[in-house]
Amino acid sequence: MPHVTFIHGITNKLEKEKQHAAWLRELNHDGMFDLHARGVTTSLVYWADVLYEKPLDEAQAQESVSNEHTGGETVTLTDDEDLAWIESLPKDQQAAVEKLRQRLNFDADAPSGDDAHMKDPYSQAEQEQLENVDFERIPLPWFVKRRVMKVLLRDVHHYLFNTEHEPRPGERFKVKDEIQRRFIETMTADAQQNANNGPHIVVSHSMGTVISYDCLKHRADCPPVSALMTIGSPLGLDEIQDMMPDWSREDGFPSTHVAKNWTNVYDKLDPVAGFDPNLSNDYRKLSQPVVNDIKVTNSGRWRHSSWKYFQQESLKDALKDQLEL
Amino acid sequence: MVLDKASEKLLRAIRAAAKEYDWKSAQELSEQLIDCLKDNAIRQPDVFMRELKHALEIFDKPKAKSLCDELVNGIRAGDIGLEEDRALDILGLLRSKRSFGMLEQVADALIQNGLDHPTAWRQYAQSLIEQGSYTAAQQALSAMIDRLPKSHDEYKEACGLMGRLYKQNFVDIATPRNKKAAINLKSAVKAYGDIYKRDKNAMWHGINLVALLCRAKKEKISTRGLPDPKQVAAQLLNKIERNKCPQPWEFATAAAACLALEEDDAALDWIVRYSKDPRSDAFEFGGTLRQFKEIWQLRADKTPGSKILHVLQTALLAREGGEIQLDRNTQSERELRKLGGDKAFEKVLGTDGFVSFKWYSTGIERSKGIALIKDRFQEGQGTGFILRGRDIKEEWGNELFMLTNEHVISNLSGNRTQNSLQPDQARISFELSENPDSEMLISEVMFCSPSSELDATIVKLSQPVTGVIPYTIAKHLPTTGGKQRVYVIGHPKGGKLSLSIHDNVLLDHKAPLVHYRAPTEGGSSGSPVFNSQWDLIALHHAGGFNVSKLNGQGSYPANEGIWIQSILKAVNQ
Repeated sequence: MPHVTFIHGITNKLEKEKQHAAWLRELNHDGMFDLHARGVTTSLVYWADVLYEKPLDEAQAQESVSNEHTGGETVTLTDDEDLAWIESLPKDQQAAVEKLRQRLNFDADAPSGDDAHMKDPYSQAEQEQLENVDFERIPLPWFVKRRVMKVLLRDVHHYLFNTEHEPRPGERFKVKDEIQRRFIETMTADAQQNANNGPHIVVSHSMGTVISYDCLKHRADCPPVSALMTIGSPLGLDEIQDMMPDWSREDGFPSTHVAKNWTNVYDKLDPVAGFDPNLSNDYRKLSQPVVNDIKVTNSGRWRHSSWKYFQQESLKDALKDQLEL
Repeated sequence: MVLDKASEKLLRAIRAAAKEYDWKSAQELSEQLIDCLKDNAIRQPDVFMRELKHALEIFDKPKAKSLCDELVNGIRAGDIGLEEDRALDILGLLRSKRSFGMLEQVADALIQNGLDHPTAWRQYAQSLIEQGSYTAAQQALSAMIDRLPKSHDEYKEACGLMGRLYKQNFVDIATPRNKKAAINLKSAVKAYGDIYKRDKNAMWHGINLVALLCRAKKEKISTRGLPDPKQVAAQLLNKIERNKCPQPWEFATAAAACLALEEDDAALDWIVRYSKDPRSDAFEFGGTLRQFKEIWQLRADKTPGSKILHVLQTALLAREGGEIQLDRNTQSERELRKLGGDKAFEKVLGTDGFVSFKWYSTGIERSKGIALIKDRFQEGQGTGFILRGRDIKEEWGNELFMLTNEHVISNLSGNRTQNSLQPDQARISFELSENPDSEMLISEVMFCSPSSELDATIVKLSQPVTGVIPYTIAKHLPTTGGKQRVYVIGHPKGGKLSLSIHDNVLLDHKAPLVHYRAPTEGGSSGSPVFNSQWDLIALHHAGGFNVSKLNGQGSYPANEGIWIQSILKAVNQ
């Protein structure tokens, strides 16, 4: 049977089983894309507990920026990350983080605000105008941008610099080691179960795209897959590419571990992916652009939610192709 | 302890095995003995109730029937003495699950053994009505009405059932303007009307009164001296609107009242509320649907029936126990297509409701390609369904073919299934097609695999089948684990095309076989089995109570289908 290994992205999540079920439900929002009914087995690499004390409950998820739905990629009102951790970093890391912070372009001290109008859609005219301006100038409310960018900054740093983190008293993780361990453990079990039984796809969202790429590109012990799907990915950011070992534009494609294709789905107005949404130029295979970049237009003003991406027919069509359904 | 013969035999075998030091056999036999003792022990009423409830909830009819038989035998033999409350609980349970055959049997045994309680009599009378035994029901109800004081709740219920009996008699007469039909209609109006006149809280009686008065007006049957249906409908609606915590059935009552008041949009709003209420079950939806079709004569191809019936049928299929008969009067493809693009309808249903509606519409669309296979004497023998040629074998192109079981149609000579039809004996019709009465013949058998192998026959039909959208064929079977559902659409007992939702769980699969629980009966052979996405996964071919498990030991009640990809592979070899 075909298999999908999901990996989630930044910000806190529901507990593992609920998060997994929520993603399956979101993909099947119209009742016609139930992976299990189509004979596709699935698993989720869950790492929110490496950075957060306890999972979101469903009531908290409801209070999120995209509170039309629970379980998706959300930034909750409690996600106002304190950036004090930057001060204790070694100088080289501080410099890298500062470079990324400037690139992400947010005001760390901006006051809190109200998320309610984030559900309002852009008008057609606004949408067309925004498609043509620099991402930095997209008028996302600063309080939202600040919150999500602070979380992204922390997650990217802690992962790429393998920071030691204590989410709960007495439980310490080296973030990259632990997340990679979980990814490879899940992938190995999935590969064993799925041996010669059909395509094995990794579907990753947000920071999960960085983790899946990093493992597929750099970990020899990571089992190979048929195809990779990245959704709302920050992998296009130079600052993230610079922090990854041995990355090169001309040979960035994880050829040894991704047998067929890599599909990247983005929304130009997604604040995580939007700085540099096209990956085909940055992750070439023998200098050839092979990543299939798919542009979508999500609903509302908050465009990063996984559930909004999962509703896109072009994403589902691409996934069907990858799974050979 | 007294053992029955089977248990005694097992005990002797255990002793013999132990004597030979064959501990493995002794252990296996001991387990069989324990099962045997459990089965034969007289259950305590609590245990019985729990087991019966479970069997009814998972739609395990044979188990429920066997429990009821045991209860009836115990009551009649004097081995089981039930407290009155417990006896009424059991009758209530059987009624709530609409198991009227079992209800009649148990109520009869209880009454015969001294339970002279009006509720038991009422349940007994209802079971008789539901099974069409009107004379016996009338006798039981008349006796109740004669002896109960008018203030007794069961008196009202008995009068209501008497109304129901006349109403059903009216419905059963095909020509409503016939004199006998008019008498039945008026008798039903009187039965419901007398109660509602005395007690304005008797809303069930009130709304039936409204429905029948409206119908009488439509049939030009005189209603002189009877209440104005619009006035009664307005009273009922007002009462429901003022109720802060209405029961689900009140939503259905309000919808019917709105129909009487010719407020069709409001009727739809109430039906949507009803359909979304988690307290409503499939049996309630079924009753409402029947009333709307039989008395209100709503049709799926006309307003307001198109929306109301489709919403109700969608809700019915979303509930365990739901079952719809698929025919051209209740499913209008044109209307379904229109409603699928109707933004106002989508808004009324809400996102989830509209998703369910689209799912239901796809199921109806799949039904169009399903055929009833009859013999030369017009007896239904099985089901078949249409597949596009190139989906089976590339070179067969766009021509449509029919797939059924070899045990339904066969051209094999040596290993042919006994009683299967010769190709020239089969008559094929498509109930949901534009010409449901036209019959097709078989012009060529393209493939035939005996029932001991794939039990499949693919034939070319004498005329082209039109208007059928080819099925999507699933590449993989759903994951196992007891959460995936499957749907079988066919002609059970060679009758009406039907789709039921009764615990339709995929149990297991191992190529080429698929096991599932789904309500099927003789005549379902050759039906398509779909996954929850309405992709074709299997050809239904058999079922039984002791089907050997595909993985692991033992057996279970299961239906069995042949994985469609196994059939395609065999055709292409």
